[in-house]
Amino acid sequence: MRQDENLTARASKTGSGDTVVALSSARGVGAVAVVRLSGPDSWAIARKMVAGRKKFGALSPRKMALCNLIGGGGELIDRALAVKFAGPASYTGEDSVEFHCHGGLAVSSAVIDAALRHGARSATAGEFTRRAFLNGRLDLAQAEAVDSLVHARTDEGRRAALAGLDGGLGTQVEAMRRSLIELKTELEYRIDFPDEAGQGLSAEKIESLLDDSLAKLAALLQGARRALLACRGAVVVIAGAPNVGKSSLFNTLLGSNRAIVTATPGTTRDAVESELVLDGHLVRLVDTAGLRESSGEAEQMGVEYSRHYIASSDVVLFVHEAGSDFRRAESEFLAEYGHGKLVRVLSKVDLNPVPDDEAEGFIPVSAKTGQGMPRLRRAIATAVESATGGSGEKTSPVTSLRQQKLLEEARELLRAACPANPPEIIAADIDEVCTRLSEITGRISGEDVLDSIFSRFCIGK
Amino acid sequence: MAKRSFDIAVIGAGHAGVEAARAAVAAGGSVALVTSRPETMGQMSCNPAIGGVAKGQLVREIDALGGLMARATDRASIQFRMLNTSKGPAVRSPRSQSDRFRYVRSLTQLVNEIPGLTVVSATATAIETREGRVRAVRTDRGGTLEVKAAVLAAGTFLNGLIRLGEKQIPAGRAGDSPSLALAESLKQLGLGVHRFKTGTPPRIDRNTVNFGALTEQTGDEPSYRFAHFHRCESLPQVSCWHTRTSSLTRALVLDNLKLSSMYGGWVEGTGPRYCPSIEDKFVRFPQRDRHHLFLEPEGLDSDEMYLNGLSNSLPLDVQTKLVNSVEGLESARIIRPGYAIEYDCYDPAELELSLESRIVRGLYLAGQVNGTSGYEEAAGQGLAAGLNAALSLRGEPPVIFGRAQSYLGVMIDDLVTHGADEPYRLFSSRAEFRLSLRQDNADIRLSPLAHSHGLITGEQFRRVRRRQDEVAKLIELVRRTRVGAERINPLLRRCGSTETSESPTVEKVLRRPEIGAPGLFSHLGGDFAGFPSAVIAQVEMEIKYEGYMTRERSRQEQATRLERVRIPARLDYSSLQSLSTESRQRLASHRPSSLGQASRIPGLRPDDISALMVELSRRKNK
Ligand SMILES: Cc1cc2nc3c(=O)[nH]c(=O)nc-3n(C[C@H](O)[C@H](O)[C@H](O)COP(=O)(O)OP(=O)(O)OC[C@H]3O[C@@H](n4cnc5c(N)ncnc54)[C@H](O)[C@@H]3O)c2cc1C
Ligand SMILES: Nc1nc2c(ncn2[C@@H]2O[C@H](COP(=O)(O)OP(=O)(O)O)[C@@H](O)[C@H]2O)c(=O)[nH]1
Ligand SMILES: [Mg+2]
Repeated sequence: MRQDENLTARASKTGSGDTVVALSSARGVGAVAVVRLSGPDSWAIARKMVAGRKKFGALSPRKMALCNLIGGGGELIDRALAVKFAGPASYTGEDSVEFHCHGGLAVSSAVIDAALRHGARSATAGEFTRRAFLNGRLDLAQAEAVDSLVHARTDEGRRAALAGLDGGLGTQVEAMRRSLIELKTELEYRIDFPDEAGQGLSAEKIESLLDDSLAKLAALLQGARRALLACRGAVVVIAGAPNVGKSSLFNTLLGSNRAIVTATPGTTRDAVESELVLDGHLVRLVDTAGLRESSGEAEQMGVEYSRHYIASSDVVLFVHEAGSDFRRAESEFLAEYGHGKLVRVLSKVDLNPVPDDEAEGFIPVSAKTGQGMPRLRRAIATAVESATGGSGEKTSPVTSLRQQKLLEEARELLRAACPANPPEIIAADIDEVCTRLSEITGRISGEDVLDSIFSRFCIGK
Repeated sequence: MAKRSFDIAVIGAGHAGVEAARAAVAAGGSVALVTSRPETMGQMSCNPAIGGVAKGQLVREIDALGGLMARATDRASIQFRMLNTSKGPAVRSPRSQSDRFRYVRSLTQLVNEIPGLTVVSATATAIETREGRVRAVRTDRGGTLEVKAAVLAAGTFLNGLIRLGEKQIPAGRAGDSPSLALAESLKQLGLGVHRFKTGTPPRIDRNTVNFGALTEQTGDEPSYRFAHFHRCESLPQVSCWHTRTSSLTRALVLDNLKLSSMYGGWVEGTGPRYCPSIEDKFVRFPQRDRHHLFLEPEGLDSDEMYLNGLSNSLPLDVQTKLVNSVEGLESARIIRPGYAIEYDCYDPAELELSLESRIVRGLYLAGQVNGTSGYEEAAGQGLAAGLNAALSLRGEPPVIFGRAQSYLGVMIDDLVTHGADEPYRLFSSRAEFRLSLRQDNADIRLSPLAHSHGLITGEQFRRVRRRQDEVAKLIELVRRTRVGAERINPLLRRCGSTETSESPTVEKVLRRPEIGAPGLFSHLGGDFAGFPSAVIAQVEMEIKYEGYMTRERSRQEQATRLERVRIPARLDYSSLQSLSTESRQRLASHRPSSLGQASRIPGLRPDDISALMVELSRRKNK
């Protein structure tokens, strides 16, 4: 993992004051539960929690030892594995301790209780990662990647999150920012020292420097969509007129009864969302209200919601009932939404069987009999795959929407910058771009353009 | 001698002192201006020029606040240049070559016109305090002045020490005695003392210069005036001259380096990087032997010429050889040698944003004593210090100049928030809102504040308002008027812009990067003719760079919102559990007065600022 020297230097000098404790593995029943303590007193507190304090005290960092954990009344809580970490070589950058105890809430609660009694404080949500960030162990982009990694449900998601975690985004963004600052230094030199600087930079030179950054941003953003989809899942929206069987399809695909199915058109008033994994792709399936204009106010809202979902979806399952004029309905739908990533479905084929040649381009299914469902699943997986840019190997270090948005803003600002403008205006553009870039890593820039002017140019007539 | 009492004593009548006296009187104080030599009021110790990038903007601000500097400059200007004309309106900066002698005369006259001001010809020797507050200023021959506040504006004089080769001469600057007693008194009061250094080049006898070998630099038409409300006649205009150092100059400097005060190891003070000595230039950029030099006249009636770029602290005989190694100066004679000077100054981080010391209440510091360098910087601080000293005696809150409002605000905030670890000078790149902080709108930015504090008259204020109306009128005209293709195409062609076949609005034409407002309006004539250049510049910014101005304004508003969240002076940072220990320590030592100022403390993260914001609002709601 790449580390910023400044931040690491900072970390070694400081700690975040108090010591916190929390369950670090998933809540609920499992074979093992990990309780983590982090902060300056974590070793001391842990020492008080074990029987055989001497042995624990002598334990060297990153070595596991079996020990007995003792509760408030001196009773044995659990026999657990303990491991110490010495800051800054730990996840949070602080001294910390992990207890790997037996699973189940009862045990881990008792362990946490004991730690609290000895002076630890309950960690707030995400506090370990926050501390790691504050202590310079992770930049903000990496912290977000941790979040994605923890929540990764597919192999693809895990890989994308890992790409973010190795600090690649931070490094690239930082390099880009540096080169923009260099351009700004040139411009500022010419503004503040007009008698010495001579000629201004030519518009062509400025343009080519801006173009360089633009190309790098474009490259980062190219893989971003795919990486993001892998992390947060592709949004697949089920659309179609009311009562065509959308909710039934939704439930069948999920294998559960999440959406309400009724014979009254317009039952699903707002969108219902659920996750599933298809062929290794994380899919966020959304059931929506039907797309017909209607008078009911609540339903109207649901319809609005559908439009919104369709607009921001990656794939649309367009459902139409077998037996009606589905070609016309399709062209109407396309005229209104013009969505490129359609999977066309003919529903309720158990009632109205459709010959294969007539069904051309549609997938005939029945939620009732399960007919056509495997084919539909494959079709969805393929559509998701092509929406995410194919299965090429290139992964992008972008792991959150926030990062993507900032990169996009930076790109738009750079695109709008006009090299023929006077230098102070271009400098203003660069400032705006750099603000976005620093927000991505959460690093304060702090460098002084003046410093860089003094070191590069001989100033002072 | 009898005791006399005043509200405020201003110590020193340099650029900072005179502005402090003027502002303090205007804000209603009874003021004594104490100065060792009244005949040197506003003397330019170094370069005979006022203005330049960022500094020119500051002079305009000082004038908009009723200060004296712009008026004295106009009366002494012997060459005027607008810098950065090839760039946008935001960084165009006026600079005036000034007659040193006329400058002092004009300024003295302006000071004498300040109603009720008492000029005390004496050297201040000590500041007396009671319970941590200023109560009197002792002087050598003017008795003790009983005061409620004092503005310290003693420039480079405190423990001043001139260096010339291995020689050292205690002095405030060439020809003036240093202030030793006062420096000792300030040290006793517990102010944090720094030692800074600066230097000046030799002055050359113009009769010994071979001008034929130099390049002449003439100025612009002298129609520009720094002052907003007062016009005076132009003086005859003169030229400056450009030349360069040679490889011989370089060899001389490098061979004699150990004789230089700076490189011989005598100087301890920190010097400015933007004003390096010739020794510095050759040492730091050894690959270059030709550095720019400018010969600048010191006055219409003087033979002295200032050799800009050859500041040094070498012994006199080496300096002579150095000068003679320069093209055109082969037989030039030095009238006064260059030298380096070291002096005491005080950590500006110990000040409030009002420029009042936190160590000694009622003591305000301004100018070189705050670690700045430059006449304009000094004058601006003087004005702020004098004004705030008078306001505090009236029990009114100080005027804090915002970074979004003025270069003056940028400078004071920089000084107080970051301290000064080298002599501080303004640059346009220090101002994050520089598109708005222009020389053409200084009056519009500052006149409301100036008027409400009695720094300008009602009539002057109304004049600014009228000009603002003109701006609005011209903007309206630009948006509304369409021009025929046949009328605008000749201009487009001339400026290398693509011709049009329609009748675009003037606004649309002005938005083209190749088209400048002055050229466009004079081409159009008619209703567009006759607007003052400051009005044209404002319209150009508002139309041509509308998107940028809008963006900057919204950033200004955001910043101002943070600035408005005040932090109680006695906030106990150790109780703020949600902040890291380190951040708490930083905050406790800086004691920012607002969230805005806190956000600029180096090493604090946006995270810390949000946490602080939450804590502050929690406290308020309790
Ligand atoms: C050698 C030299 C080189 C310089 N070079 C540069 C340069 O390259 N660039 C630049 O920007 N600036 C330079 N300066 C700085 C510039 O001169 C100052 O920044 C500016 O003059 C500061 O203004 P001031 O009002 O703070 O002090 P000054 O202009 O120094 O005025 C101080 C005043 O206080 C009076 N005084 C001092 N002590 C007492 C006392 N005890 N009692 C009563 N009166 C007192 C003095 O008589 C004087 O009138 C240089 C200065 C010197 C001396
Ligand atoms: N026979 C049959 N009926 C279906 C099928 N799918 C849905 N239905 C019925 O059609 C009606 C509407 O279904 P629903 O899923 O609520 O449609 P939605 O309004 O599009 O969500 C209900 O009465 C369902 O039982 C199917 O595959 N076969
Ligand atoms: Mg439904």
